[in-house]
This record gives sequence, C-alpha cells and structure tokens, in this order.
Amino acid sequence: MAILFGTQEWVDAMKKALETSQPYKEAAKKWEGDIYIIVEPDAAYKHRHVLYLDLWHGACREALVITDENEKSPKYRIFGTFTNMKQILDKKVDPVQSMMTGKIKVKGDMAQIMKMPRAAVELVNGMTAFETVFPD
Amino acid sequence: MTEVKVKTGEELNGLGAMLKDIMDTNLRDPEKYKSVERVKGSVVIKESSSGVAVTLHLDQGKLELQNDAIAKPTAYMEAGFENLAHISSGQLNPIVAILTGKVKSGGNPFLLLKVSKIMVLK
Repeated sequence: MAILFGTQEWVDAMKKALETSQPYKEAAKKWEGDIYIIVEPDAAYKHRHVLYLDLWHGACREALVITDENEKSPKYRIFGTFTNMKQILDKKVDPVQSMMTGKIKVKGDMAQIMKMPRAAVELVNGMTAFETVFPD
Repeated sequence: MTEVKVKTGEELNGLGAMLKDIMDTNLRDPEKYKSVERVKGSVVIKESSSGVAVTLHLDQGKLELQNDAIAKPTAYMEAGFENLAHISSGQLNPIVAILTGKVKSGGNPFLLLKVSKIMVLK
C-alpha cells in the first residue's frame, strides 16, 4: 500500500526500511548523526516538508515529522525540490547522480560522508524501499 | 583565509560543492595550502557513473572551481563516487588508486599529486 509522503506514517515506514535493510546496516555501521530530509517547494508543489531521522550505527533511533525547523539541530541536512525528490522516490533517477548534479544537496560533516559514501546512498535507497504517494 | 572561489555567475554542481567544502577545510591548514601555493594549471575531476565533472583552476595560490570539464586541462582524474569519497577520506591512497585503475588519470601527474593533497581530509 502506498504511503502518503510527509506524514508520520511515511517516516515510520522509512525507519522500518532502514532497520530491515542489510546494505544500509552494513554501510552505516559506524554512522553517527541525525538528519533532516527537507523537501523544498517548487512550481509543481507549494508545501515544504521537514522530516527527521536520528541515525546511529546502522539503526534509526527516532523518526519524526518536524513542524518547527528549530526543534532539532541535526548534524546533516539532505534537501531538494519536490520535483527532484519525487524523481528519486519514483526511482526515475539514480541517487548518486542526483547528488553529483546538485539536484539533491547534502550539508553537514563532509568528512564522515566521505568515509561512508555508501551509507548516504543506502539512506536514499531506503526512501525508495516502499511505495510513496504524494499529496496534491 | 584562502578558499576556493566559484566561477562568476555559476552555482556549483553537487560534485563541485562537495569538493569545495573539502578543499576549503584543507586550505585552512598552512601545510596543505603550501602544496598548491605555487602551482599553475587546471585539473578536471569527473565522477564516472553520473558523468558530472568540474574543473579546478590553480594560479599561484588562487583556486577557482567551475562546472564541467574544460577542453584541454593540464591534468584529469575520473572515478566513481565511492572511490572519490574514499580518496577524500584518506581511506584510499590516490597513487594506489591510479595504479590499481580505481582512478583513471592523465596529463601532468605532478599537478595531480599536488591537488590530491587538498582533496584528502586528514
């Protein structure tokens, strides 16, 4: 069943996807740091979503929909426009390609990302492990 | 403080933004800055799976990044995202990477060696 993007149900599904992904667990076994996934509005969609994941040594300790961006101070932020994020979630573009072209941007401690590039890729892959439906 | 400039009017692609972040961190270290202080030339760095490239211009201490590969760089290197990341994190020695074929390279190896010093975060 498709899950509505931007809801608590969606971040719960994301948490479950990471917890059951062996490639993610392996790639992120030394990963320490929470993250905001930020979807920026664009011509196709006018809302902004901020989702929070607390990632620690291959586990996802907490997954939340954020209403006030100051609520947390995550170590990392992955952000992109709705259209670019949707293309990844629909598996129409490769996550690495999206990161390299800058369609999806990553901000934070670059040293850790460079140590565990596969973790970043598997994190994005986790978003595509279940079917997402988008709000109108 | 020296930092890598971005070509006027451009917004760097993702590869360029990541490299700028790494290089700016390294340039704060006087020892690492010394390695590129007197260097002149251009290096194309390409991520092979996406085909995304940037060119780093070096002109005696001034560094500038631009999107895409220029036609005739002084040197070039090409690798997949993970190998580029492993080089940047110090997990993969750039010379070993070239010798083992994990990185394809060409042009002036001396320049590549100098540039690799500001690409490695350690």
